[in-house]
Amino acid sequence: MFCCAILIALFCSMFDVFFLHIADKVILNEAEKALVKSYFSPKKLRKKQYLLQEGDACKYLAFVEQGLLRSYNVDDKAVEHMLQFAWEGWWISDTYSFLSGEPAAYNIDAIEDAELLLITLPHFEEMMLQVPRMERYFRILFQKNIISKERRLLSSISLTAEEKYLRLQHSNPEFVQRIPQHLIASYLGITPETLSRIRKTIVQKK
Amino acid sequence: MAIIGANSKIGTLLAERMAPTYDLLLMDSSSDELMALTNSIRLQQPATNINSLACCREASWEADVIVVAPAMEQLPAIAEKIKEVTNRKPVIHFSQTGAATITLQELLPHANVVVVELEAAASTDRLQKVVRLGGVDKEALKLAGEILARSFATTL
Repeated sequence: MFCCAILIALFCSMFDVFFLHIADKVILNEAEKALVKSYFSPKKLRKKQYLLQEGDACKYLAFVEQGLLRSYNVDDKAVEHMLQFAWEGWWISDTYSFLSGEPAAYNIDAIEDAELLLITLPHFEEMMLQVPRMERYFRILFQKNIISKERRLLSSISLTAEEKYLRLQHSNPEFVQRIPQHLIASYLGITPETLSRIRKTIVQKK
Repeated sequence: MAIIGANSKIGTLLAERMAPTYDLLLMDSSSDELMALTNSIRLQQPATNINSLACCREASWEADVIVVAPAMEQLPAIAEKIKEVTNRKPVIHFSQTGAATITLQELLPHANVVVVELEAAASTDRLQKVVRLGGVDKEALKLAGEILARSFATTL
């Protein structure tokens, strides 16, 4: 009971990554930071634990302070289709469900133990009103998200499996290092065996 | 759901009653007693998902709902430790009538605190009666009502 709390308080804050990420796009003063903090719930998620299950309404927009999460859909043959991965400094949610209250189309769970900051839609809206700089922050974020989704769509219809893998490796080396191969294969829409062949071919070419 | 102060009379009663319905994370400072309680519940209700932790901050950080049921004198110290991780979370404070009242909402200003006051009972075997249910946040109040109805359906 008297354990870890003091150590954690001394060495890190649970909003460190969050405010660093925000500072990359907008500058908040101390009063704004305190107000923004008050809207979020800190949450620890153990590996394999769900943040969201398909069919439930998505109650939260989640920021990853630490750890790794994925969002995915499971088809009627029980095959998982990866939509997104999120690690330190990333946001994850089922945006449509979060904004509409409709049942989620995706599952979100933890691939590694995770520390998250969660915000509900009413608190999100209130935060935008109270801290207009956060509205600017989210506008920038949503713009980047749209661009990223357009690029992914384009690459999925115009590139070969090898080109998709190489582009992913080039644009986000951490992705390839950190995420298990079978999940990367699912994200690229190929089988693990195909990914394995592609990786061997790339090594041979070098 | 975390139960802080699981070894107290109320905490033990709550853990036993909530175990069939909720995933529980029990917390108290005496790890031997806590382990005995956890094992006893697992034995009686093998299907239950129950774990224990010796750190109230960790338990509150991991849980979506925090039930607080320690001895009243421990409350300020516990509140200080869990303050940062209970932001916007429902915190349901169970206490017995007649105990010195500390307003947990003042100690946890950003948590959605609900107070449940129970009539004192002679032993944990005897069911207790809710004499007060109070709080500001409607969602948290609704949740506390659901927990009470599910866990004490036969007596309330």
